[in-house]
This record gives sequence, C-alpha cells and structure tokens, in this order.
Amino acid sequence: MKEKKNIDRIFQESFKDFETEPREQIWDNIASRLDKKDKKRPLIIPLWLKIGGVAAVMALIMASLLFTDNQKSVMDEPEVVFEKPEKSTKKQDIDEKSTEAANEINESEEQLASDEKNTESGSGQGNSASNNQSSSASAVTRNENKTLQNKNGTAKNIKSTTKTESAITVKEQESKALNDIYKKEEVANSAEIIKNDVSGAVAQSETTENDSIKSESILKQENALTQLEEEKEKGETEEEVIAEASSKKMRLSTFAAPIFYKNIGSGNELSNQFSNNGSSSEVTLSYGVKIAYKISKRLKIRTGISKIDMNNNIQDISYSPSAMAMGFENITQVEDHVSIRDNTPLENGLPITEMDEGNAFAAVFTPGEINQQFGYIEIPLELEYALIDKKFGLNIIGGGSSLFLDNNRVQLISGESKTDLGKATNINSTSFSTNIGLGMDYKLTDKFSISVEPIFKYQINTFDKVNNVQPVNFGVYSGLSFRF
Amino acid sequence: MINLKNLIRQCKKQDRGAQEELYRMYAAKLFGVCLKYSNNYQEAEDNMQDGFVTIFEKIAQYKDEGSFEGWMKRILINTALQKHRQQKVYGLTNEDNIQEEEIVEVEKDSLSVDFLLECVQSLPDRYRQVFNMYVLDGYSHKEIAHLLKISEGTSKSNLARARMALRDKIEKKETIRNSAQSS
Repeated sequence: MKEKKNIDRIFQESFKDFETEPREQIWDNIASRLDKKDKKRPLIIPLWLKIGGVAAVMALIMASLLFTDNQKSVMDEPEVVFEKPEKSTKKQDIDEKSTEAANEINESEEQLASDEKNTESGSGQGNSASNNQSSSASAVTRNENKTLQNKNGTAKNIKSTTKTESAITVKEQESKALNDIYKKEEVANSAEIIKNDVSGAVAQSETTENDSIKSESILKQENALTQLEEEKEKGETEEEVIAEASSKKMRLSTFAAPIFYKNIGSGNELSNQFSNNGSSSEVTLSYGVKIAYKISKRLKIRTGISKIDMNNNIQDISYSPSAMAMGFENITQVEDHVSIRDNTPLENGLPITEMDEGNAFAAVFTPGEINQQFGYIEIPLELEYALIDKKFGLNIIGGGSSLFLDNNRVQLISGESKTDLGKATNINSTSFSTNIGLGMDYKLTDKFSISVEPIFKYQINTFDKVNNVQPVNFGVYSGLSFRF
Repeated sequence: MINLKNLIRQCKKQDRGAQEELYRMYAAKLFGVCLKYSNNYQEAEDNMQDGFVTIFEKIAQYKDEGSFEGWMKRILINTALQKHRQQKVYGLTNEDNIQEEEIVEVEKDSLSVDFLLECVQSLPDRYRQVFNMYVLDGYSHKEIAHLLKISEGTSKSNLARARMALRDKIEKKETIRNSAQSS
C-alpha cells in the first residue's frame, strides 16, 4: 500500500507542474515600481544637464570675470595718478634715471600694491591676500619680478597686481564651483539611494541583477563555451557595457573650439609704446585632433595636434602715410610706410592735422586700429582624470601645450581698409601654455561619444621685449570621439 | 510561440501592456518558483515583485536564444538567493562530512504539494536553496557552490542535511496521521 520512494523523486514529481496564481496586488506593485523607474530615468539626464550647466556657467563666469575685470582696471587706471611717461624716448630717460633708485621705487611700489590689496574690499580679494598658495603665488611673484624690471610707473604695477588678484579670484571661484558640483552629486546620489530605499529595492536590485547575470552565464556553461561567451556579453548591465567600453584603451577625437584670447597683463603685446592703449580681441577658432590613452581606470594621458589662432586689436592709434618710414619697435616693416602714433584722435573721429613749427602743414593723422594676428600649431600633453565615468562622464583636465608659431601678421585697420604693416618680431617661435579645464562627455554608443571641454590656457614665453604682457586664452572645445 | 517573440520585443520598448501580458502568462508558474525558494508567502511575493522588476529592466539583454522562461526563472531564483545572501545566514554551513548522495527514502502517501511546499519553506535558508537548486531546478553542485559562494562540499552536505530534514518532517507527519487514525 505504501511504496518507499526516493525523497527527491517525490518533490520533483510534485513540483513539476507546481503553479500558484499570485495575488492581483503583485502586478499592481510591479507596474507602479516600473512607472517610478520610468519617471526616474528622464530625471537622471536633467540632473546631469544641471551639473553640466553649472560647469558651463562657471566657465562663463570665469571667462567673463577675467575679461571684464581687466577692462575695468584699465578704466580705473587714470584714477591712480602717478607720473606717466608717454613716449618711448622719454621712457628711456626715466629708465636710466630710475635704475639706481629702482629698488627704492620698487619697495614703495610693492608697498602701494599691498596697500591697495588691503584696502580693496572684494569677495575674493581677502583670500588672495594670503596668496602663499601653489601656482597663484608663483604667478604673483612672477609679476612682481616683472615689476622690478618695469620702471614705467607705479600705476601699472598696481594694476598688474590687482589683475593677478582677479585671476586668483577667478581660480578660487572655479574651485568653489567644482566643490559645488561635488556636493550636488553627493546629494543627488543619496537622494537616489533614499528613493530606492523607499521603493524597497535598495542596492539589492543592483546586486541581484549582477547575480542573475552570473547564473545565466554559468548555466550556459553546460551547453558550450562559445555560448557562454555570448551569454556573458548579453548579461552585462548598462554600466558594465560602458565599463567594458571604457576598457578600450585608445580614444581618438576631433574637436573645434571658439577661443577667447586676452592679455591679462597691463602691457601691450606688440610694443610698450601702446601699453596705454585699449585693446580688444575677436573670438577665433581652434580645431584639431586628439588621441588619448588610458593609463588606469580613471586616468588618461592625451596629446594631439591643433591649430589655434589669436588676435588683438590695438585701439586709439592714429596714422599718417609717411615717406620717412620711421617704423617702430618690434615690427619688421614690409610694405607701405606708415607713421603711427598712439595718441587718441579727436572725439569726433576726424583726422588730426599736425602743424610743425612755423605752422607749415606736416601730416594728417587718421584714427585707426592695429590688428595683430598670431597663430600656432599646438601640441598638448594633458592628463585627464575621470571624476565620473558612466554614460555621462566628468573629467578634470590638466597639462601643458607647446605652441609653434605659424602665423604672424600686423595690420593697420582704418575704416574698411586694411594695410599690412609687417610681422611682429617679438613673438617667440616656440612658446608654451599651461592648461586646466573640465571635460564633460556623453557616450552615444559603445564607441562614439561627444564631449564639451571648457579649457583655460595660461601662455608662457609668448612675447619678448614687452612688459607686463600675460596672454591667456579660454576655449570651449567640443567634439566627437571614437574609442577603440 | 510566435507571439512570445513579439511580446518580448514590445517589452523591450517598455510597453506596459505587453509587460502585463507577459507577466500574466508566466505569473503562476514563476510564483511557484518564488514560493519554493522563500520562507513564507510574504517573502515569495516580495521576490516575485523584485524579480519581475529586474526582468523588465533586463529584458533588452535577452537575445531570443534559450528558453525565455528559463531566463526569467533564473532571475527570480537569483533574486531569492540574493535576499538571503544579504542576510548572511551563517551557522548552517558547517561542513560535517555527511555521506554524499545518500538516498533518503520515505513512504509515499498522498503527500500534497502544499504540504511539501510547507516542508521546503520550513527548511533553513541554505538547505532550502541547495535542495531547490539541485533537486528541483537542475543546478549542479559546482554551480550552486559558485552562486552561493560556498564550497562544493558544503553544497553536498547541505543537500544531504536538507533531505534528512525533509524526511523527518514527512515522517513526523505520517506519525501524527497514523496516531490520529489509531486513536
């Protein structure tokens, strides 16, 4: 009547077609959780957009601060009244005279500069008073060294100091911005975790997923090894796909960027003669290719080649055709002989008639601008550290570039007409820049991604024979990358 | 089963209607799996929900090869295993060498599935997992060892202990029934 049976068999037979309808409630719960996830998904992107937006805004603030601050200090300059040589000849006199008293002067200058620093009440200024920090400190000392050489006047020194300060302020704000971003991220992450908690999933779902994948591949092992491989691939989560994608060691990118060039020093790039003239720069273009190699999980080293152009308009000059071809320093005169001076023409913009002794008509000076262009072949060497390496990536970029001069032109612009004046002789054929920036990328597919990188470049050894010139440029590099 | 392919495709687009249809197709069968692997009904429901959310999230990774049902089942089993892994049930994993593959026999007498389920559910988590995986779902000891992060030996001894525990339960019931009959 009772047959003895293997316990395994009993259970196997009983559970073979074991089915139980779950409560209706279960589907409702699943559906509502799926709804939540669906809603959460698009939310992730705006969050990233926000972070990206914050970074972009900070970059813009950084740029605008830098560029407007400079303008201001140029405008403020007349308020600080000091002896101000106008002509280069006169300046040379003073140079000689002040050589002996240079130290004294410089001491007082520095005093003034620091006084200025103390009295100024700016948000970032207070911090920068203690500028014993890293590169900003060295920047200050460098400027002070330049000050030692420069005997033009105290006003300029003050100006340069304040400018350095503004640069520091910008840096500090930048780092603050970065901190902000970190904080936001943290908040966002924890918010997500809390959300998960509430929905009862917590990290479980994550690990569960991974697990399901494992078992999947293991079961397949029985069938065939090849199938196992496929199964593994199949089983990978999105993150893992990306992780695998990022296991691709090389990345090739093409990029283009609008370049905002600025001289944050008080001098003029072309000649000390124009150091009191206003100047402006147009937005130019940089483009090229980059290749990056992944050293470790988060660190990439990258180099490439690109073309970068910069220009500078020296305003408030007037010129007159001249057979005498006086020329002026730092320009190799090539074509038309023009005599140029840096005094501002009449308010109405009409030519000034200059009378020499005896009221004889001498020359007509027409207002105009000098446009200086210089372009480089840039070869950067940068490190890229990934703060976030998911579908959206956030990187910090730092490094330097070698710049090889390939375009050098000085033009005179008056109204619609342009006249070549020649080449600037004081631009070094090889110069350098230190680069710092923030990179954001979005992985479109396994292989392709798009990126936006606001990068700030501080140029070194660009110009000779001019004082207080510190060129910097800022570009928003955007491009398409291919990983392999 | 041409429909199933379509349904999966719709599910990959996160079509809620298709998801519901798929759920309804397999709910009863898979809820059975959940029940087997759980301590109690409530836990089985939780696993069912978590498992199906995972299934619909990962459905894009299912590539139309192999049994779809098997694929879903594995996800549900893993969901269940994962729960207990997080709870870190120790103390059951002593590797006393119990004879492997010992044949445990009981007298079969109209044992209902409900009763057998009750027996399985009442097993300690680790025993239940190993017994279910090995006996009912065809996992090898090697796979079990890997999934549960235990040694194969532990898996085998856990299985033996599970069998014995089940036999005890069944026999106990028999005794109760018999004594009820005799009195």
